[in-house]
This record gives sequence, structure tokens and C-alpha cells, in this order.
Amino acid sequence: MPENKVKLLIVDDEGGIVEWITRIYSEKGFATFGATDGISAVELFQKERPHITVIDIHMPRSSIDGVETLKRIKEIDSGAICLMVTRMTDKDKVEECRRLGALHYITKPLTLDELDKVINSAVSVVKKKG
Amino acid sequence: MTTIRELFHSLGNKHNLITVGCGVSKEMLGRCLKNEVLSEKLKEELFYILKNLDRHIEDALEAEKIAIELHDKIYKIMDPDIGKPL
Repeated sequence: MPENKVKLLIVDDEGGIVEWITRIYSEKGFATFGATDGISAVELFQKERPHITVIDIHMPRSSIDGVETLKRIKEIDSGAICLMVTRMTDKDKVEECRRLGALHYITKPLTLDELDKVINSAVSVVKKKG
Repeated sequence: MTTIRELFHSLGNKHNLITVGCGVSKEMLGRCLKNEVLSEKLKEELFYILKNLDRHIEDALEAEKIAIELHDKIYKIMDPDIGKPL
């Protein structure tokens, strides 16, 4: 895997979402990783140190939810760039993620256009950081 | 028994699967359409599928708006975890 690729980690307890998004962004030139559980996501983050992590807040099938996943990732690297996937009904959790240092929020249902916008914006932040 | 809260989460996830799945399919079909060896007939059919995928995305987004409206109305009068009136 070339070193200059932006590393992207997708975390969602819906396997189909992880498979589709990682596939599309691999084709767009990213080095992609996927996790369907918060604990595996944290382990993968520790190992691969992705530049951008996209985390679904609601993961009922995961051992820890998206907020806890974000919290643990931020404990490993406080500068980690994390994008949270929320629902319109998640206002309280969104506030908590903001406090924990998430960069952006994307509201479900996701469209690839919206996802592209926030990921491209996160890529700009990655490039600025060098 | 599945709670009202869980049902709304599942419903939201299904809408998300539709929008992301259709979006990914659109991107892949779009790439196929760039293939010069495709016949005009096949291209026409692929364009038709692309247009339908757009409609499915719009419909899923509309369905989610309705689900949110329903969610807000139900949560005002019912506890979503025990399924009883507030």
C-alpha cells in the first residue's frame, strides 16, 4: 500500500455499509479499512492510524456505541479526525460528540455526494496537518 | 420484544442502506457507461437504471423524513422503551 494514500476507516455495525463505502473509496484512491464493531474499530485505529475515521453513532449490534468508540479513539490520539454519522433524532449525542472533538457530522440516510463533501473537507485538514 | 426505539433505528438503517447502496451502484454503473465498446441499446438501458436509482434515493430520503415525523409524534405520547403511554 503506497505511503501517500489517505487512510480511511469506516465504522458501522451494518456490514453492507462498510463493504460499499470502503469499496468506493478504495477506487477513489484511499487506503480503506472497515470495522463493524466499536472495539475492533479502536484496535484497527491503534494498528493502522487512519487519517480519517467515519463512525456511526448508533451501533446496537456493536459492543460499544459510536460515542464510546470516538472517546476511545480520542484517548489514543486527541488529534484524530473523526466524522460522525447521526440521525436527525440524535441531538443529545451530537452535542456529546462535539464536546469529544468530532470534526463533522453527516446525517443519515447518507448520500455519496454528502459523504464526498465531508470526506474531501477532512482530506484538506489532513493535508494542512502534513 | 423489539422496542419502538429499536424499530425506528432499524427503519433508519434500512433507509441508509438504500441510499448508500443505490449511490454505490450509480457510481459503478457510471464507470461502466464510459466503456466505449457498449452498444447504444445497452447504454440506453444503463441510463434508465441510473435514473431509477436516483428515484430510489429520493424516495428513501422522503421516507426517512416521514419516519422522523412519525418518531416525533410517537415519542411525545409514548415511552419508546416500554411501549406505554407517558
